[in-house]
Amino acid sequence: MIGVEGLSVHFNAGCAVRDAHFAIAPGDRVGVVGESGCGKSVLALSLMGMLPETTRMSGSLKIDGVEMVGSDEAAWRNLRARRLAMIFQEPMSALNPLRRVGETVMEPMRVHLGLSRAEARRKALELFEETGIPEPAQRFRQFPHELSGGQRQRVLIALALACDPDVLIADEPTTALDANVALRMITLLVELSKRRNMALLFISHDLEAVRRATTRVMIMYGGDIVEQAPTQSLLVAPAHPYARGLLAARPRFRPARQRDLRLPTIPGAVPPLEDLPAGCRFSGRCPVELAHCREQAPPRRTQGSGTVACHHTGEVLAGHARPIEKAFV
Amino acid sequence: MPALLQLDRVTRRYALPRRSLIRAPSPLTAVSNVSLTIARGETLGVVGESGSGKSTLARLAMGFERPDEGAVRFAGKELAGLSKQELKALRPRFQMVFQDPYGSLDPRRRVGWSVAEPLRVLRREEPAVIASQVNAVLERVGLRAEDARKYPHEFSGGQRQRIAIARGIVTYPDLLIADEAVSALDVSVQAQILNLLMDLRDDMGLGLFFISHDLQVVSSISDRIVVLRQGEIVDDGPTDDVMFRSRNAYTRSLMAAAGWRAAAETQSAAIDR
Repeated sequence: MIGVEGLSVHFNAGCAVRDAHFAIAPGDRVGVVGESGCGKSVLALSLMGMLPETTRMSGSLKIDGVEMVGSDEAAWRNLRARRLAMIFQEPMSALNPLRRVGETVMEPMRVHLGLSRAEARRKALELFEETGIPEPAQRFRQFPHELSGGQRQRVLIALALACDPDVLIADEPTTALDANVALRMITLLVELSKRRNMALLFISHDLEAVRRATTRVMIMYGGDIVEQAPTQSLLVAPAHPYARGLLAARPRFRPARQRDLRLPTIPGAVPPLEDLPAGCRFSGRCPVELAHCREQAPPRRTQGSGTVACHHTGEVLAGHARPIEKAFV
Repeated sequence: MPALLQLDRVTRRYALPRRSLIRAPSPLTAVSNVSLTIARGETLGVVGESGSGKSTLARLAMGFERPDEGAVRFAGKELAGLSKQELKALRPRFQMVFQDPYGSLDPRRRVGWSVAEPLRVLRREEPAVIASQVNAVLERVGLRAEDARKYPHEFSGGQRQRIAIARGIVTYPDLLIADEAVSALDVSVQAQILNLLMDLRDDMGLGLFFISHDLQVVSSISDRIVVLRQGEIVDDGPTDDVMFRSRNAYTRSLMAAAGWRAAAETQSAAIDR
């Protein structure tokens, strides 16, 4: 349904997404993981045709077989109306504070599907029910500030589902929520994806959320998709040095006898776009860097049931010889 | 060891906006009957969801607010009984690091000026002495002395949090209160800052009062954990006891939501390999 081949997004300062390859089929649940400034959100916006005008896309992005790189705004608008939908992190700023939430959810159905007020109202109430909003008829008449954070996020999901999209892109949908509320939100998104055979692209820096929400995951660093694999296998046995450093660095419970040890870290920080190395983006921070890593972009290779973009092969990235985690400590 | 910070059955209420002309406005109890202590060199973690009273607890501990009931004591002195001057004189011994490294530094002031603020308030030292102390703490937190002349916007989020920590330790305090100090940072930077806090705790014998919504982060650094819910302590104990043996349903729900079991498995797998 979505096919991406060698897609790059160029900003004036540099390349925010470089040579991305992936495909999304109906009902797929795909995670995008990375730290801030790694290109996650730019990738999402490019799939929605919502990049700023100063950017340029190259490569190929096909949606339902139609090439979208270089297509006009009308084609995008058509796709966004019926096929693609997106929810954002901030549930407060994404809703119009002066409109009752029911009206907000009815609007796209009136505009894009041409439904009458009564029909749109009936469908919107169904969506409120489907997204688990308690007492839908009362909520319908309320304003965003009268709802809790979790309920606002549910309203946004209902809004995104209004025109029955094939792909739902969720950009950090749980980041602003308390742990228990976030968990219910993930359960809801997974249920909706299964029930409607709707693809879910789940963007998050939270590996635990991604573990629960997705079956496949892409790890991004400096605009590159450095590793792509089934979620379960990637979280247990990551291959790319960045993915391994990221997983090892996660702060988490340590029993008292280990608590005096320091946490493994990745030295340094993600460089700004204009300072990214020309070759492997992770060079300069990588513990197993080779002489040519900085100049040459790494090849994309099949590794297990996924792909890895790294100059290393075989033993260094494989399951048993594990010098990389030790190097990060 | 004597307690550095002691909260003794502390309750703090806020007046809610009036809803009726006839009835008195009902109070909101942000913190209810909370008791806890922190000793030197020890890390006490507080975990709770939004609205649980975590930040109120931090403000009470700093003496920014007075409790309605109970007592907050630092080094045996009850904060509510101190005059403004006495509190100011005690302030160098307990300092705070805030969540937002953007909001807590004045964007129009050079970093050195902001870091020196707790020292200037004391009016004890010559400017040249202050400057050399600022340079020393900047290097201590992993920055360079020259960074004192830069402005906050020239630094990344993690570096800004280092600056905020430098300001927190410039008076060589006994206690550092960290309210969501790593919550706004990326995962790999979080680990760097947590390591820095552990280094400072061990080298300076700091007591750490570490407050966060994130159970995994809290349990990675704390010796003891307090679980706060709607202003009340619902669970507390040594970190291992809470994580391995807690029978409290709420604590267990937080652990499940944080994917504790799964996280522990992947971690031990990563160590074993």
